[in-house]
Amino acid sequence: MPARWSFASHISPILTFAGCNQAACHGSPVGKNGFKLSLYGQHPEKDYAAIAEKRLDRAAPARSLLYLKPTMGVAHGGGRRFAKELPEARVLLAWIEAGAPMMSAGAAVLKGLDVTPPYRVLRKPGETMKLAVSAVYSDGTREDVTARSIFSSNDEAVLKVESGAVARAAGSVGEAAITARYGGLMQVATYGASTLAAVKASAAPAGLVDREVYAKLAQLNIVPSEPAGDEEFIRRLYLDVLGVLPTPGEVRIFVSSKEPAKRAWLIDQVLERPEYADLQTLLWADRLRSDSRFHRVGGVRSYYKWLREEFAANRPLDKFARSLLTATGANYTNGPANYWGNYDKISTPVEVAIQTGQLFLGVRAGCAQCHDHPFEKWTQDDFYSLAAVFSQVVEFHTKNVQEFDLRLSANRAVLHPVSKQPVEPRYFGAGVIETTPGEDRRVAFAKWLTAKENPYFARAMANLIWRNLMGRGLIHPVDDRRDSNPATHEALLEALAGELAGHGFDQKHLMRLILNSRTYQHSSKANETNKLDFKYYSRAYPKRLPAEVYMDAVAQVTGVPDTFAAWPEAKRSVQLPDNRMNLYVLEVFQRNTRLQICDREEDVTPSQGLNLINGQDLQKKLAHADGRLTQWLGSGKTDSELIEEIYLATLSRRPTAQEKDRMLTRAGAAKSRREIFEDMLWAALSSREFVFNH
Amino acid sequence: MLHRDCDGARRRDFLRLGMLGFAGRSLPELLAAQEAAKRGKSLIFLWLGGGAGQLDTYDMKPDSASDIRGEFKPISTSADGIQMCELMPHTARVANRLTILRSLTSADLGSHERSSRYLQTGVLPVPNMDFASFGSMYTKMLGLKQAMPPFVGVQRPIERGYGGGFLGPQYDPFLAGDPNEKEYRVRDLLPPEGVSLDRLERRREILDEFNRTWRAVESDAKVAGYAPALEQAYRMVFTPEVRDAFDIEKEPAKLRDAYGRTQVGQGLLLARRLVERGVKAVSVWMGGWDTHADNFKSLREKLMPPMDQGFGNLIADLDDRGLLDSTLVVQVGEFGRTPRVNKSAGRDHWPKAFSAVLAGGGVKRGVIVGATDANASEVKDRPITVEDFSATIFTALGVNINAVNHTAEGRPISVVNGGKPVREALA
Repeated sequence: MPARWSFASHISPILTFAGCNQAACHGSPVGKNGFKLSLYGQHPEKDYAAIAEKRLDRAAPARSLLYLKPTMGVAHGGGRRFAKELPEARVLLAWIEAGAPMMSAGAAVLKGLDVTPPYRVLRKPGETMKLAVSAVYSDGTREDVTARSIFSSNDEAVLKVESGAVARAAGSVGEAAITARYGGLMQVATYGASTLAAVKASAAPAGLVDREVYAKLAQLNIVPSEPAGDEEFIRRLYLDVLGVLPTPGEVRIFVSSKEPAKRAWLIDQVLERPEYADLQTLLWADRLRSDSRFHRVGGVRSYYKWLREEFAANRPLDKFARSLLTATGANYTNGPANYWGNYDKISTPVEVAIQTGQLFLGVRAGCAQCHDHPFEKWTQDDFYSLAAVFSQVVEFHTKNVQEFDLRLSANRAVLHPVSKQPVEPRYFGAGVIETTPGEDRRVAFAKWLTAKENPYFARAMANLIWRNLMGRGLIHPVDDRRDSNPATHEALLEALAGELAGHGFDQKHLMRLILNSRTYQHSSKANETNKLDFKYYSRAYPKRLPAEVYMDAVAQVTGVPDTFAAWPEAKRSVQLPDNRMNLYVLEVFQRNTRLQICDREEDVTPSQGLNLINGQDLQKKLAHADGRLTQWLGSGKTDSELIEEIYLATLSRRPTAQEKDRMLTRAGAAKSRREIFEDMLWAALSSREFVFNH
Repeated sequence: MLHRDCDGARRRDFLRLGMLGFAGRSLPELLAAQEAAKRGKSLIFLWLGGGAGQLDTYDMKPDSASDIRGEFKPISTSADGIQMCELMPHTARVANRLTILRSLTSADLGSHERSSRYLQTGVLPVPNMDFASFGSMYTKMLGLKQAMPPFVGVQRPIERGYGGGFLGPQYDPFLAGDPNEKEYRVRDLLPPEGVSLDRLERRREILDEFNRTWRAVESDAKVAGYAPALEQAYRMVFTPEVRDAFDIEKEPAKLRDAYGRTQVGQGLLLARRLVERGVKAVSVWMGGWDTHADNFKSLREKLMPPMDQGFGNLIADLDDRGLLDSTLVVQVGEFGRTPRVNKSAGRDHWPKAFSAVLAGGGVKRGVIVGATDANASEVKDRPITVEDFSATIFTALGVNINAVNHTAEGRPISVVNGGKPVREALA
């Protein structure tokens, strides 16, 4: 038993370990049955007050509710948390007997946690390792608190922590971040697990990206896939950077070229094409939630126009962010003003804080809106201090009542929901923002955020760029940075962030660097060691075509473009500013609803299947009298040449000899030439290989 | 009318063959009803988008001031002691089969988007994720594999919150469109013009060729989902029962007239048809209830007649077919409407006190639960939170309300977020 008691250090951890203060029980925002504790014991002073109020019987300690309830000495909705004989119960009782002090004179305070062993890779199937957690106190003493720590793994397929603080290799190859929590503190330790046989390490390719990726693969004995062939590469590059397919002519020329640096050359070419700006506009309009219901047609039109200009000019991302964060004026004429609200009302400071956190800090601060973040150091105070940054903006409507005009007011206070006191605006996780009256606080915030050395912005932007090309962020989800969710390749993320910040936040520069890496250019064809790799980039990860890209690709291949009556300037669906336009194909292929900042769904659903099988629009395009099929059929091409055209147009490759033979047989046996080639083109456009970018 | 033995057996059904009950019933239909009952309950969820006012539907206050009670009068119903709006004669006739909840109270402040999410999922919305609708959660818990889509949506979804949310899009409802359209077809369920079913088969063979030779990773999760989805789609196309289930023209014209040739009427008829044939949850969305202006005119002319006719006949039809015990019917909107009529003869949003209706499997018949004050503005008696409402629905359906599902990031979400089932409503 401790000689000098500290409620926070000795008692609160027991309440956490026994589950008393979890969200489902007394840690819920309203407590349970009249007893409220802070979530996971993050506010020991409040918890002590709640306990001392009614749940202690200092005269007869063993009759204290705090002791009786968890040991089931009296009825307890939460059941028996621990038996009377266990140390937890005995410590509780001893503390009450000692007078239940909040803090005895000279008691040490918990300062930190140490988790051992250090990083290692478990190599045998089902191998285990015993974890240990030491609590470090303010007086320098240490205590083994393993038995009362709570562990969680961020990838239980790789490593699972079982009772007794035993980490077990669960079968998947990779690394897992184990978070240990005790006494309101947490510490993360990463370990690997791989039963793969050691491979003779080939020389890792040079270059920032490949160095880091290959080092991790070597640690885990994952063998990377072969480089993608030219056909694989050109299709993927075009889809990732432009959102369009290469034409058969482009494929032929590229594949047959003997230039040694042709891939680097193609990358440079592609980055300069106008479709690049179209695709970036769409991706950012998704994340900014440009919405024709809330911003009205006038708003989405100006938002789109501005975004497209920014990406066509390759505007540095810091300037881009600052324009959004400091915008004023009427949203129908000033695109970035749309960041701040919609026709109904200006976004509240809380809403702007959540949005800014996700988009530019890469942090889901919204969890801390209602309570301190359950697992991270972000507190409710941090969140409201961020919200307070944005409290100056007000709207007033221009003569068109659905348009808003963003102005700055004098300072308005953001009140803390619990204390009801005004909160000081702070740079996130940092100091108070000092401004003179009338000064736009957002300017100071935006300047801090986009400074080269800011710890959030460059990482968030680099992670997003990486994710858009590679299919998965180094931090995943892409805007969920937290200690318990470390990057899979921390050094790589830092290096990419540094590269971006060091080159004037030039997005194309970073993209060029990534696209030229061997890692980006891996084939998606897996080998025995890496078919279950989903996070270490040993192979290219297939991504389903986004709805607009799919729709446009069908139009491109069939030679029947779509027209959009309400938006005559849009030649492809990717250029449509109106995200709610009634287009079934886009809906069923899950275009981003923009109702929240989240990624598109990529699952194939039965409704999509039906649309592929029976879609009227697709059939109309296939049967179109002026479509590409009519052209091909009328051009005197042989069956063999037609089959090649179909493969090149849809899959950006030539058919294998076998594939061509089988198709030729079908064509030969068919009653109607038109019909059989329609059917073939239909099948190509509905195939997995078409619908996925790989 | 259909009678039931105390042990629930439907022997007398057979006696009624050849006798026209509500609209004539054949032996195969009755057998189908028994089959459906054996397979566990189904859910029909009628959503009154915009929020229907309690004072103009189930919670009349004839003794209140004229600018509170409004223009309508209450009428008696088939249930002793239950009155409802005079615009609901069909529903009044089946009141003895309903549980009417008058004390719903929502913790949301009353925005359409948030409240719609709240009332369709039972969970107060949070910024970063979507919870699952009742239909999605129910069909997830059932875990069925069948050609018939387990969860179908009829008409257009109105706000967020109608689908699978964090459970994933595979639990979204299969959208069936508007069965009131002339020549109604489910989108893409039948082959397009110029393509016969035979040609569809031939196309499928060619597609198999393409898919077979693709050399990329099969085990990739996203890619792996493609084949089952397409399989499911093909199954729907080539299983005559599925096409048949959505073929509302097979319903007798008289019955279609009885439900009403309206979107909600035909929607509810389709819902009944679907649950008879193995669909476990159907959401029917009806909008237009957000009557900030001309509340009484809109209700009288546009909203109440079709809804009442459709709903009243649905309950009677289900009961007639012996399906009422195996079908839970829920009628609710995102909130109620202000007791005091505004300057535009309308009512505004009122989440503090509103009504909902339950009927069928697992709930009592002819019962009112809860009460509001003299102006239907505050709950006075037996408040029912949205979480309690959710708990009641799942309990009636036989789902463990404490069962847990996980988000993609591993966060545990229970089926019900802390609500307690309303015992007074449950049979």
